[in-house]
Amino acid sequence: MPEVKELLLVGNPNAGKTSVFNRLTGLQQQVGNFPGVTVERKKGSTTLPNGRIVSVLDLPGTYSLHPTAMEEYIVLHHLLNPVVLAARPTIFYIADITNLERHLLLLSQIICLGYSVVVGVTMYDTLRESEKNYNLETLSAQLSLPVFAINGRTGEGLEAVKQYLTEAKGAVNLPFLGAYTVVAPSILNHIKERLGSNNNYIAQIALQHYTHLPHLSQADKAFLADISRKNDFKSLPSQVTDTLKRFEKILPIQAAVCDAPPAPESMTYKIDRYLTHPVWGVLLFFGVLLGVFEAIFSFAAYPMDAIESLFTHLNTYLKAVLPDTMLTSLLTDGFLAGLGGILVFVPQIAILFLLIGILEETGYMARAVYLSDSLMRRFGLNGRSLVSLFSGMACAIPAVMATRTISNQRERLLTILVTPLMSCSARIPVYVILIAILIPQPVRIGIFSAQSLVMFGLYFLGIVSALGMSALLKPFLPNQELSYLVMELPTYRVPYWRNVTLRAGQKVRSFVFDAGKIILTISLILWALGNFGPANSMDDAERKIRTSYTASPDFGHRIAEARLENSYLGTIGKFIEPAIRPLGFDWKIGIALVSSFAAREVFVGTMATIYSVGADDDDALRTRMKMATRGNTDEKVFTPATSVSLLLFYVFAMQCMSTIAVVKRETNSWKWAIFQLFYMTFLAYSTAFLAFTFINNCC
Amino acid sequence: MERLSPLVKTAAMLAIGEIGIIEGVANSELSSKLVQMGFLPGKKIVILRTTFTGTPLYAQLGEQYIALRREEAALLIIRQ
Repeated sequence: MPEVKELLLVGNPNAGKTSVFNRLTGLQQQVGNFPGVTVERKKGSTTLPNGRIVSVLDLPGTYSLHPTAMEEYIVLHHLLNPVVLAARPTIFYIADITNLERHLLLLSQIICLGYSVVVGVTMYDTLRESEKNYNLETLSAQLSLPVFAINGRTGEGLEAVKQYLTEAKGAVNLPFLGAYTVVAPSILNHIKERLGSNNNYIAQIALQHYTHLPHLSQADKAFLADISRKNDFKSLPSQVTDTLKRFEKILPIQAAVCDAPPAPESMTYKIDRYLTHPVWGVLLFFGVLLGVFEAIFSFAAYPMDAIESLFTHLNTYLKAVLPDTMLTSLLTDGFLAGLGGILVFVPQIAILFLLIGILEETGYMARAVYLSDSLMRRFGLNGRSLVSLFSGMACAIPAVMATRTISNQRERLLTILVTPLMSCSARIPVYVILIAILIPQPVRIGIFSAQSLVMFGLYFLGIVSALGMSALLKPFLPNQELSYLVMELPTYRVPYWRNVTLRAGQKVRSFVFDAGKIILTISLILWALGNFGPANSMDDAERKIRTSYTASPDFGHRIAEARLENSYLGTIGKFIEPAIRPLGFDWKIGIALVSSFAAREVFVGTMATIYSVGADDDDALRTRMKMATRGNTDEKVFTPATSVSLLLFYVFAMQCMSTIAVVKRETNSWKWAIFQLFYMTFLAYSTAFLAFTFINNCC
Repeated sequence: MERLSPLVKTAAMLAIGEIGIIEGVANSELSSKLVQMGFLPGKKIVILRTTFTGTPLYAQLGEQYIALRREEAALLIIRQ
């Protein structure tokens, strides 16, 4: 074997791979996607004792090379790819000593693919003294592989591995099952010849999984299909036979290495009597969800306020010192406002990912999935979706990003598509002002005030529509994976902070740099629409105000109103008026709808400008809105029908460019982001229309 | 999926706390997955608890804990 150039980290889920990867690579990690899918691909590099730099790729955790889930397919695709095979990377296989038997299965398959392998055994230090009867030398001899006891959290043992890698000689692995093959050798020879490989196991896996191997040409696939048909080959039973044969050999190895396997963690058993209790466990999970919501709704508010006020001050300061030109406006109201609009989400993303990191690292998340599976599967979702949905009540942006932890691709896509229906905190200012217009006087229904009942109703509608839409969309979405739940419930562990904080940091960075670009672009477009108008219409309008209203105290507000009305934004508002009139909206609401595409709460600020009041004067705005009439008639704009219609519109509509940007990033395509925009707008339009028509005709 | 005779006992029929020994895995798309996860002939399985809807099951398989739905447990043929 020539020098080690690349290290591939392979192992079962929960083997401790992430800690090892973080230890080896430190902060120098690139996080992307595997080609064609949205499974996270983490790459970094590590320096060997002789100064050579080796790249390290972390492959998703998998139990076997016979895949059933997307992440497992990724591992198969990667390891069987001729390009990867030809590059001869070294595999650093991570195995958990407390469950050696199952962790040796994938290792035995990797050996048969012909890769050079170094084995790292984790959790050795967690064993009780009495259980430290594992003989790693025996394991090494049995496997004919180098075996090291390692600890990803402390870094223990990793130096020895690196030292070994600098000196690595070309160890050729013997096939794990000797001369035995699951498929007849004559068939394998045929396939090897065709694929130009001399490896029996590669030929066997190609026959078992050719329909799922992207590197095979159509002709190769047809060839394999033909062989399969001619020999009446059944892939599934052959996978079972392959696995059983391997375990037949693994069990004696395990027995030779250790005389008595450790008893299951009794602490985990005790904790789970409460945490997975049918009643207490569910209540506690609900408490956890409320805690997550509270953290990103309330705690995050402090840093968010600080960021907002920083940008407001900076904005005001720059406007004061810079000349009053369009360029200053572009810098302040365009660029700076857009930047602030991106950074304001950072606290929520960081806090949510810290919390999710803790839930995942401790092993609690698997319990949450267990507890909520029977409910959530009806909607095509799972327990991790609940974390996203609850987070979505604070903000859809971190919530959509959090879906990365859902491994089933359809469940993940559904969660992304419906999470923005949950009423987020940006909707609150819109709800508050519209409810105040709808129910001006305090009315009590029983012990509740009517206003808070409406508010509660809107939130409830968000939850119901999210779950309902998920159930509705489920049959229409592609499902390439089997639907099942066979999930390891890992031993409870104290979270490893390095893993938690690194992940949160990566999420923040990817949001700011990837989704941030889209958000900044859209906010600059919205700025331009609000600051430019057809020909000289805006200046003409301003001049008119200046000549007719000289002494008016709200002079400045009136100018702002006139300019906005005559800008492109105003033009669009007027242009779409015929389309939104059936919902009871006029062109002023139209302008607010377009501008609040930046973020829902912008609705209030735009209304304030249009109705010529100060942005902070809620009372004045409410009064103005209540008095507002349609065109030159004395027909009120904000009748109960319009208010209800507009409320419903904001419950359902995707009025948030940042969410669209994040959905685009997380689904890795514009397709789903645009689909979501359309279905939510359709839902918003139709419910608003029905409500407006119904109230007008029946009440 | 292979139709199992109603006389065949599966892990889905185990009462809470009852011990079963796995004899094999019924033919299905999931049989490969179940074998990989360690549901091997001769292994001891105990259902420790379930949720109030009766699925999924919280099982102890040898030295590990695994959650699986009742449908999946019904693929595990057992003897006692």
